[in-house]
Amino acid sequence: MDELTSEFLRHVRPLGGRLQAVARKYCARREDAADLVQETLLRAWRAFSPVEGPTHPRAWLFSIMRNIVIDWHRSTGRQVLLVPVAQEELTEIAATSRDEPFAPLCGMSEEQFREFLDRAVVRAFDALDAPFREVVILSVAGDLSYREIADVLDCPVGTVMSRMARARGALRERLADFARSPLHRKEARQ
Amino acid sequence: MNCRELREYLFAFLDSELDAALSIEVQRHLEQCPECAREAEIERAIRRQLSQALHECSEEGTQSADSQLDEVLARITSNDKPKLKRALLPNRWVAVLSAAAVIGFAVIIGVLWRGEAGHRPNQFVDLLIADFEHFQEKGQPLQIASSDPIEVSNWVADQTAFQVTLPALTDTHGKLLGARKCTIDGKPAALAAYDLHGSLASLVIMPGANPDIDNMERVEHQGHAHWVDRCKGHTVVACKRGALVYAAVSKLPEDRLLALMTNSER
Repeated sequence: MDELTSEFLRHVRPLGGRLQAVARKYCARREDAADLVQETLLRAWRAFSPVEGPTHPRAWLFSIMRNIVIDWHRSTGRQVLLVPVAQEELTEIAATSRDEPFAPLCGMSEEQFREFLDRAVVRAFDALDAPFREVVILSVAGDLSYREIADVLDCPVGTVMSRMARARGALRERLADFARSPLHRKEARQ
Repeated sequence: MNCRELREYLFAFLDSELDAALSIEVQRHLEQCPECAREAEIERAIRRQLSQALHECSEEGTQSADSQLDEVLARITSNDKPKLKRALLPNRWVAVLSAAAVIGFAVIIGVLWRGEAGHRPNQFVDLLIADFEHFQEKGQPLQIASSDPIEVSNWVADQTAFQVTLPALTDTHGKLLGARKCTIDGKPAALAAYDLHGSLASLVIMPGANPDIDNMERVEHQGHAHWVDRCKGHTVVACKRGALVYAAVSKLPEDRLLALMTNSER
């Protein structure tokens, strides 16, 4: 294996699992997610320069992936599950109101709470708006820091911080709504 | 810090994105306020469940996913070589001068390295220093902020199953700031942070004897074997204790780090 190839693999191979996890959240179909990972790696390989080398390989790879998803959404028939919103199209999101308490989730036993989360967390997450879901996916499935997410989204770190706070707060609100809903009470009784 | 401020910082705290000072304030508030501690527990439970759900839907880490990935990488790298950008291709003279500059630079670096430690630093030392610098650059995020070595040792044991004994410092030596989990060379480890009179020191604890340690300079200190290396303005001091390796990193001289390590042997 030549030096260029081994240098490239040294950068990207440890991130393969994370790329796969995030791709599965961008794409509705498993085959599309596999194609997305492949296309990301191909573009990364073509752009890879041993002279310049990526300063932040993780942010670099996820930026490439995100741009492919935007291209796919605009020009192909691929079913994109999460459409990234370009920075210029976003109206800035205010951080969680600091005077509001967290949406209440107590009042259940530990076991009831675990069962409730098991049923509700994905539903609550899927109900979040795309910009919120995206920062959480990049953080949780991509294991990126706020700084790296800011590089991927091409926005200031402060924006990531406020969007993340809003996303986490909104997730709690949705979980609380779900805990109060008649549907949950019915499921809990069954 | 009051409850309202805690709500402002809790999410970033749990994401390890706060600096050391704020992390300590958040941790202190959580220790004193059962209501906020409960909120933090709920938030941790939500995170655990969400993380599990987001990873369940992928094949990450499975053998088939890994082999698919290796196949893709092999295909891409064997058939589609990247071309050096034209702008990066130098003319003959620029190439000659660049090569001379690179050789000269390498010689200078080599001399500096030899001057520091007498040999080129090994990968283990490089990793420890990179981790220390990363920790500093990220604002020294801690997952537990406490100056109590027993409390922090217990936390590390809970999080990693390492039975550790962290140095108990007196005020004249410095102060334990707290700890966080980390990885060294892809393996789980723990990092404890110390403020040694204004200078930061990290103490990384990891399982298994690392063969690279034996390439470091061996010194005896108060009847115990230690391994020392110096690189890029940093000092690394390591010792083996049972099944664990302890490695301290700082910009301080080795005697200060040896003193730190010795404190944990009492």
